[in-house]
Amino acid sequence: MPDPAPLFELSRASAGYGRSLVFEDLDLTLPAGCVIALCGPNGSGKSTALRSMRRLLPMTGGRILLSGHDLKDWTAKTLARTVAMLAQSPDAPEEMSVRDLVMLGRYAHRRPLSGATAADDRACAEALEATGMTSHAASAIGALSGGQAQRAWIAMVLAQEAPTILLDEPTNHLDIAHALDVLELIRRMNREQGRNVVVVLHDLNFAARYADHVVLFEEGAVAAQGSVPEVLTEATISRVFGVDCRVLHPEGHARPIIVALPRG
Amino acid sequence: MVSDLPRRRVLRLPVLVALVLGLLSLVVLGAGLGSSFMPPGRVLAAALGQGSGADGVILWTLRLPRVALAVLGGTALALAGAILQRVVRNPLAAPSVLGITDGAAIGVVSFLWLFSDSNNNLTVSIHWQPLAAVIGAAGFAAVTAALALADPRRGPLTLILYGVAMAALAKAAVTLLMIIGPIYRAGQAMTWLAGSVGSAHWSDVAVLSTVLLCALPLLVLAVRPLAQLRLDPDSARATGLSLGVSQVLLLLLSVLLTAAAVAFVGAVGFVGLIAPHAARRLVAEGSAAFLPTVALIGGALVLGADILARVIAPPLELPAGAITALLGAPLFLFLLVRRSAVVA
Repeated sequence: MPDPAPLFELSRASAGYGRSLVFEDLDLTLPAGCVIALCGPNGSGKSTALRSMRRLLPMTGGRILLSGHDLKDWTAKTLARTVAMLAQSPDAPEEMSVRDLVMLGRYAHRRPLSGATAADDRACAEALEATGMTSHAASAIGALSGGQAQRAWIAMVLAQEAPTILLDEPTNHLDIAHALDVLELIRRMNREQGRNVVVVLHDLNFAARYADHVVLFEEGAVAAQGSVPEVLTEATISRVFGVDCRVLHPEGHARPIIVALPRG
Repeated sequence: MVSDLPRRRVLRLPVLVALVLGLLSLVVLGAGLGSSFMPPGRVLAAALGQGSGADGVILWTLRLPRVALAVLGGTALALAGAILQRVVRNPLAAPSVLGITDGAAIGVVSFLWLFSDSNNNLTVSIHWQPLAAVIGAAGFAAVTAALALADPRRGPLTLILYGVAMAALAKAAVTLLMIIGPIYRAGQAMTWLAGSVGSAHWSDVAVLSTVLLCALPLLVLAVRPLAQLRLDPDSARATGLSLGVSQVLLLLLSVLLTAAAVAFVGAVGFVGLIAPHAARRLVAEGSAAFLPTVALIGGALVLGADILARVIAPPLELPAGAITALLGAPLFLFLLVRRSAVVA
């Protein structure tokens, strides 16, 4: 059986903001079927790459293939039914209810004039259930805690029923317990629902613990990519981040722990 | 448990019925006002063809066109404001705040100036006047948008500040054009300075209602994109909205509604700011009743302002726009002070 087409294939891709390019001539292939973490220092291009893959940023050169088809050729709604994305700082009026927010995730499935269908209602109910937000469905999003709000937004993304989900720093502003909740949820999307997940993560330990495939960015280029043991090595991390570190392998844990050492 | 609340937002019927009744009472009251006051009973009798012949003539040829024009103009301005606030994601936005209302007024005044002969008679058909309003409104909207988009330090207030500056420029230009140019039907001066429906004809009502009828299916189609625009730009696009296209089309719709209203009722300011904020107090913004509520409030607002403008200092008639500005400017200041409500 031939390998399935890669999820994303960037070839000589260039993108940036205004006149300054964040990455230029970037080549990157992301495999389908797993949880992929994009890591790297601030400004290294990981969020820009993610936004380019969701076509939120115009490309200044090169091309991106999604499942073998040029990203340029997808219509807005077909793309939305295929790739959903949780933005870095999502925002909606605080008086909006969680249920209304989640229903906005159904935009690409709905016709302009008809009301919500049974499929829309079912998708929203399942998304609320999966995120544990069913009992908060009627709450205003402004009244939620940080962790609940993040889960409400993830519910909106899930309701979109796209086989691929991109998340831009979903653990931002969350304490460690809520961050782990969100990452467990993200892994379940992959393991139980078979979705492709690409997530930008700042914390290398989160990546070490939850990712199947890690891409390490450095100054607009890919410094390393592969499995956790291949990429998250002392040598690579020290070089890319400019810190001294140790990668520990605690007994009874399959995944390593990364500790940065104090300077000097 | 809160989740037992009604699942879907229902059309808020009691609110809409109350607004319709309120608007109808204002219509009867407004139709009674004039050189001789007609009490509501006589207005209703004349409207139903039961009153004296003179009453019927006064009502149908003089008073109802004015009332109808005020309601339609207010409706158009209010809807334009509701759309605009969503397109730019800013509760401070409104056609008059962003210079679109006064841009339309410049279009009209320039039209009257360019196409008048030495006897103050128009050399072309008056029916071109709404087109001039559209050109003026679209021009000012485009310049304001271009200035805001080109600003690298763009913040939530950037667009508003450029709009306020453009509106001030347009107001000054309108005043100047009126003073130095020969103005067709000089009695209309007040209309273009601050907005008035004093000289209404059924033909005006017909054109404005045609514009609103054409806008109706577009508004229905716009409901879902307008809902999606409540999300931040990245999330709106990630859920499948063609953001740029939607924004341009909705901005055009807002400009058209504003221009149509200004061409017939003049530069009545702040209706597009007041009506959506008032509607939010009555119905949820995500509800299907929101735009109808905005429309009804807008109609009632301009009609109410026109009634007040006539009874405050008779026999003087103040411009209706002075009354709406008296309400709208403090609201704008309030929103500015309570700026936490500004979403970027």
